[in-house]
This record gives sequence, C-alpha cells and structure tokens, in this order.
Amino acid sequence: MSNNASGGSSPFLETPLSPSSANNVESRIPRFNVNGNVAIGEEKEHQILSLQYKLNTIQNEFEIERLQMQRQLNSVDKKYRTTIDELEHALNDTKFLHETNSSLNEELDSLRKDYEELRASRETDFKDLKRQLEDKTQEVDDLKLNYENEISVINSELQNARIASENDKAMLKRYEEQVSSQSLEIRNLNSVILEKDAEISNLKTSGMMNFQQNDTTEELTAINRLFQDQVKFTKQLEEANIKQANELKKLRNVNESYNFYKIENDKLQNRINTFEKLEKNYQDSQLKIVNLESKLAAWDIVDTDQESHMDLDMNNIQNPVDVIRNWKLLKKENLMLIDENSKVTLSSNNLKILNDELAMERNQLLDLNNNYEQNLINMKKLNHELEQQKLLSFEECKLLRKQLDEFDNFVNEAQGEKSKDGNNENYKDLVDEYKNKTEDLTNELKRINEEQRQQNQQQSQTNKKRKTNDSSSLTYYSQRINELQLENSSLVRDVAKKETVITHLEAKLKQLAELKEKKIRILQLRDGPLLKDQFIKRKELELLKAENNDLLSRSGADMIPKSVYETLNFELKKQEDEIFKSTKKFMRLKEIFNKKSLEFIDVVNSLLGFKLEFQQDNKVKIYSCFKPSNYLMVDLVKNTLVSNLNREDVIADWDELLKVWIEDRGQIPCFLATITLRLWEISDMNK
Amino acid sequence: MSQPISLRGSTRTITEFFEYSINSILYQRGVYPPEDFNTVKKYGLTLLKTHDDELKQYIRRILLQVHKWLLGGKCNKLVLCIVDKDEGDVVERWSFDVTHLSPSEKEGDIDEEVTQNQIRGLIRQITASVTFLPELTKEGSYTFNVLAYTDAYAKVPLEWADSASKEIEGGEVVQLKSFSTNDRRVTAQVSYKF
Repeated sequence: MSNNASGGSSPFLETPLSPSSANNVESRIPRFNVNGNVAIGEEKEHQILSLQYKLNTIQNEFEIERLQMQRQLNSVDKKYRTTIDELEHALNDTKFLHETNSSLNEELDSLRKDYEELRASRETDFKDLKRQLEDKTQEVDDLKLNYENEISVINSELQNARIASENDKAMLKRYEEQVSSQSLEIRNLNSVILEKDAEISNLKTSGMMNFQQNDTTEELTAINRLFQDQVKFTKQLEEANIKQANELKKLRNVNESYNFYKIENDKLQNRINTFEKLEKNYQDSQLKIVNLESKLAAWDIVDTDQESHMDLDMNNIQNPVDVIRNWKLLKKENLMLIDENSKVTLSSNNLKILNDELAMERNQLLDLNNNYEQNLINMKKLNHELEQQKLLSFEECKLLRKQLDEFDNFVNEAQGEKSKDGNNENYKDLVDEYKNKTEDLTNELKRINEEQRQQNQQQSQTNKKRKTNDSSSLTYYSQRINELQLENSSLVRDVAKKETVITHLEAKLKQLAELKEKKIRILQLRDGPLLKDQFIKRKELELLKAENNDLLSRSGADMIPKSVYETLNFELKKQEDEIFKSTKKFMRLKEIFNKKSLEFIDVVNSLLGFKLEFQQDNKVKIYSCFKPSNYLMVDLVKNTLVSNLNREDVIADWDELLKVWIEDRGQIPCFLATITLRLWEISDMNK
Repeated sequence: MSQPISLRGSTRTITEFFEYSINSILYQRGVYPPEDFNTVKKYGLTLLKTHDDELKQYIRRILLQVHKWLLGGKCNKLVLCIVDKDEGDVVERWSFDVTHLSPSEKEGDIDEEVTQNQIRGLIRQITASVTFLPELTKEGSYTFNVLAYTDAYAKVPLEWADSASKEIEGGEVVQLKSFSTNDRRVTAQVSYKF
C-alpha cells in the first residue's frame, strides 16, 4: 500500500491495485487526453479537497469543542467533586455536631435531672436544718429571755435586799445607839434609883430615928412629895422602859429580818453564781451545738446517698449514736442476710446438683423406656413370626392330610378286594374323628389368636394413643428439659469462667490504662497541606505503576490501556491545579500592582499637584489639583499636547506660555509648574 | 493598670500567639509567597497574616481545636514542621511547649502588658531567626504540618489523626525566648538541619 501510495513501482508486485489507486491511475490517464474530463476531474478533486478541508476544519472544530467541553466537563467535574467534598465535610461536620449536640443534650438532661434531684434533696435538708436551727435559736432565745428575766428579777431583788439591808443596818445602828444610850440612861437611872433607894433607906432609917426624935410634918410632906415625884419619875421611867423594850423587840425583829435577808442574799448570791456558771455552761453547750450541727451537716452529706439506698428515716436520727445504732443493726442484718444468702446459694447449688442427677436419672429412665419399647416391638415381631409359623404348620397339616387321603385311596386301590370293609370304616371313622378334632382345635386356636390379636390391637391402640398424647409429648419435653438443663448448667459454668476471665482482663486493662495515662498523643489534621501533597503523590505513583503494568502486559499493539488515560487525566488535573494556583498568584500580584500604582499616583498628585490618568491608547490625562474640571492630554506616541485650559477664563496667555516653555526652552516640568502656579492664583482669587 | 489575664483569657492569648507565630514563620521562611500575606499591627509590631482562604481556614481549624484542648489542660505542645515536598524530609521544626502551671508554680499575678512584651520579644526573635537558619533554596517546594501534643485521653475529633513526632535527627537546636501568663508558660525552640 505504501508503495502504491508513494507512487513507487515494483516489478514483483503481485497484489492488484486498490480501487482508489486504480481510479487515480485511470483519472491520471485521461487528464492528458480529454480536456473536458480533466476539468470535471479537477473540479471533483477540488470539491473533494474542499470537502476534505471542510471535514478537517469541522473535525478540528469538533476536536476543539470536544476539548473545550472536556475542559469544561473537567472543571465542572472538579467543582462537583469539590462541592461533594465540601458537602461531605459539611455533612460529617453536621453529623458530628448533631451527635455531639445530642450527647451533650443527653448529658445536660441527665446532669440537670441529677442537679434537680440534688437540689431538691439539698433544699429539703436545708429546710429541715433551717427549721431545726430556727427551733434551736427560738429555744435558745426563750431560755436566754427566761434567764435574763430571772437574772434581772434576782438582781432587782438583790438590790432591794441590799438597800433594805443597808437601811436595816442604818436603822440597827441607830437603834443600837439609842439602845446603848437608853441602856446607859437606864443604868444611870438604876444607879440613881439605887442611890435614891439608898437615900430612902437612909432616910427611912434616919426617919425612923428622926420619927422617934423629930417627927415633923413638913419633912414628911416634903418626903411624900419627893416620893410621889420619885414614883412618877419611876413610872415615867417604867413607861419609857416599856417603850424601849417594845422598840428593842421591834429592832430585834428587824435584826432577825435583816439576818434573814442576809441569809437570803447569800443564797441569792450563790444562785447568781450558779446562774453564771449555768450561763457559761449554756454558752459552752451552744458552741457544742454549733459543732454538732456542723458534724450533723457532715453526717447529712454522708447519709444523703445512704438515704436514697436505705430506707432510713432521717427524722429518727437525732444524733450520730442513732446512726451508729442503725448501722450496727444494719450490719447485723447484713451479716444475717449474707449467711442466709450463702445458705440459699449452697442449697441452690445442692438443688442444681440434685437436678442434674435427676436429669441424668431421667435420661437413664428414658433410655430404659426406649429399650423396653424396643423389646416390646421385638416381642411383637417374634409373635408375628410365630403366627406365621403356626399358619405354615397348619398349611403343612392340610397338605399332609391331603397326602394321607391320597395315600389312603392308593392303599384302598392296592388292597382292592383284599381289604375288608369293616376295618376301612373304622379307619375312616378314626381319621374323620381326628380331622374333626384337629379342625376344632384349629378353629379354637384361630379364635384365641383372633381374640389375642384383637386384644393386642386394642392395647396397641390405647398405647399408641397414650404415646401420642402423653408419652410422646412428655418424653419429648422431659428430654428437651433435661437437655436444656444440662445445656444451662454447662452455659452457667462457661459464664462463670468468662466472668473470671473478664475480671482478669478488666484488671489488666486498668493497669494498662494507668500505664498509658502518662503517654502523649501526637495529632495532626487529616487534610493538611502536607498530607494533601503526599496523597497526590501517592495517587500519581499508583497511577504510574498501574500504567506501567498495563503497558508491559498489553498483548495487542493497537490497544491503549485505560490506565494511560487515567494518568493523563490526573496530570491534566494537576496542571489545572497549577494553573489555578498561578492564576491566583497572578491575580494577587495584579492586586498588589494596582494598589502600588494607586499609591504612586496619589504620591505624584500630592507632591506635584497633578493627577495622572493613563489611557489605553498611550495617552496620559493630566488633571491639576487646582482645576480638576480641566485637563492636559499628552499623546506619548504622536508626541502632542492638547488641553482645555487655554480658554480666556482659565489661562489667557496659554499660547504664550507654551511658546516660551516648550518651544523655546523645551522645559515641560517648568511649563507645568507655571500652569500650576497660575491655577493656584486663580483658585486663590476665587476664594 | 491592666487586669491580670484569666484562664480563658490566657488561653486566648496563647492561641492568638500561635496564630501570629505560624503566619510569621510561614512568611519568613517562604513556605507561602509574600503576596499571600497582609500586614497587620499586633503586639506593637507590624506582622504578616495570610489572606489565602485555604491556609486561613486550615490554621483556624487547628487553633480552634488547640484552644479547646488548652482550656481543658490537654495540650502541652504545638509543633510546626516545614517539610521538603520532594524528599519528604523535615527541614525545620518549630516547637512551642506549653507548661500548665500548678498553684505552687505560679509567681503571682502577671500583668497583661508584661505578657505582651514577652510575646513581642519572642516574635522579634522568630523574625530575626531568618539570619541564622539555613536558606530554604528550593522555592515553592516546601510545605508545612502542624502537630499537637495532647494528653492520651483527650477528646479527639474525627478530623484529627495520629502522627509521628517528625523530629530532626541530629539537628541543631536553638532555644528561643518564652512568655508567661497567669496559668501557663510557653517556651519556643527551633531545630533545623545544618
């Protein structure tokens, strides 16, 4: 083909030419002979070429479009994947959040419940304690008030008693003084009386003597008067004495009352002392109460858990002794329960063992029952065989009888005339008799067999029924129960073994956890830049490996493995990522450039007073900061300068300035500076 | 007179420091191009902070979790590894140790201004470390990874996975400055291949 297509000829070419090549040859031949045909051929060729060109262009367009579409598809696919990834992330996040939220809610609920319960119990405890405290404080206040009242009463009494005693003392002193003075007076008077008595006696003696000697009336009257006076005086004295005695009596009474008050006072003092002691004791007891209350609070804290578990009535517990008593009671009860529990477990174990033994015995019994049933079946089989043998023997008997009859006939024929009729008849009778007997016996045997059979049938039917109803189900269930019990016991043993294993494992786990507690975990985010990079590299490597394997193992030369396409696709994606990154970088650089250029323009504007605006057609618009409405337009290509500042109302001598600074001196900056100054002057003037 | 930092506030200070230090390291070491960073004023310094959304999101996710761990006292180290993409080797390892101070270890109330000054000094040292660290010659072929050292029983979200410590064997270690808050002390060090 290649030879033909290239136009080369080979003398050894055996294959015929292809139609196209043949046509070409044919079309080539008349091209030199017939002009019309040549023109048509050329036209056709042109048409073909144009069509081929069109086809090529369409194919190219198609390819381009296909590539574009593929690119779009890739980008869309990428976007789709990224969105799916994002969606997955978001879903995972929401799921995780939802889970955490639900778990947190649950925790919160449980905590809230616990908190509510705790708070309720605390509140009740607190209320109880508060109530108790209030009662105690009330009691304390009452006692305080009572004590204070008593103390005040006692104090007032004491003061009164003191005052009274002081008064009494003063009175006593006065009375003592009076008594002493009066006793002195009495003494004096007594002495006077004694003197007077002595005088009287003297006078009596002297009177007697004088009476005898000088009995004058005057003296007697004077003496009588004196006596009367003396009597009066003594009467007065006696009255005064009686009065004093009364007063003395009163004073003695007062003294006695004073002593009584004194004693009372002492007693009250003692009582006050005892009250003081009691007050001290009361304060100590209050302190003790506070301490005990704090201890009680601690007891309450300890007992709150116990309270929930045990049915202890907190109202019954007044002091720790009650708690200890309860605790002791509970301990005793617990010990008793433990004993009972151990006994019960022992008995249950014994019961289990007995149950197992019973199950085994039951199994043995069932086996025996089965054997018995089997024996019965065997016996029945034997019976049946015997019946069959009996029937066979009957048949044999019949045959023998037949043979006997035949033999008798034959004997009769042989004997002929020789035999006698009498003997034959006897023989016949005997045979008949025998026959009848045997028939009777056979009938009887048949009947008996029939009856036995019927009985057996009935029995078997009843047995069958019972078996179907009772024995089969019972045996089945008992067997099943036994099996299940045995299985249960084995499972219980297994469970016990497993439990011990579990406890061992838990202990080990705990130990391991304790060991591990000190350890540290090093963590990283799953989708970090490093891991992403590593993931891409791994994927690339895997794809390349797959491609390599496929290429090495491919059989047909025309086949291109799928892995090649996948690798190319992956590379394309990588390139797209690179492009994306570079685009991003370019955008950022552009942003920075724009920012910097804006800064530059701002700086120029602020320093030179002109704002520069770069146009796309290589033109620069220059706005002065003093006249932003007007501008200068510089064309950098044509090298021209146009402005709308050259008006009369703005810069009147524009042309002159332009001539001086640009044309003559060639100094654009100076020209711009002049314009700036002019514009500033105008704006200043306007202001 | 500024108030001393509370536990929550101190954690926030540490997390914020991590954010700025990670950004500074990534900028100073050229792991990400300079155009990805903006200048911001912080700690009385002009620092650089990324405005690349992907990177920002990544750092934010790390620091959110680290903040939670720090609050719970479960995180005691944060490590930033700069890794050669081609070789997979760790070329630099910036480690920030967080010590949770016990009541006996606390040295009284530390003023926030003192903490800020210490942080400023540490960030300056990180910036200055470019002078002694070997140049990362292969531009654009480095990436980074952040490792968080946590308690073995810390609650770990699904997006976090276990990692190796990524130590640089036989590397040079330079101890940097440290700063303290009321409850924690943060010490920094950098190890690198030489």
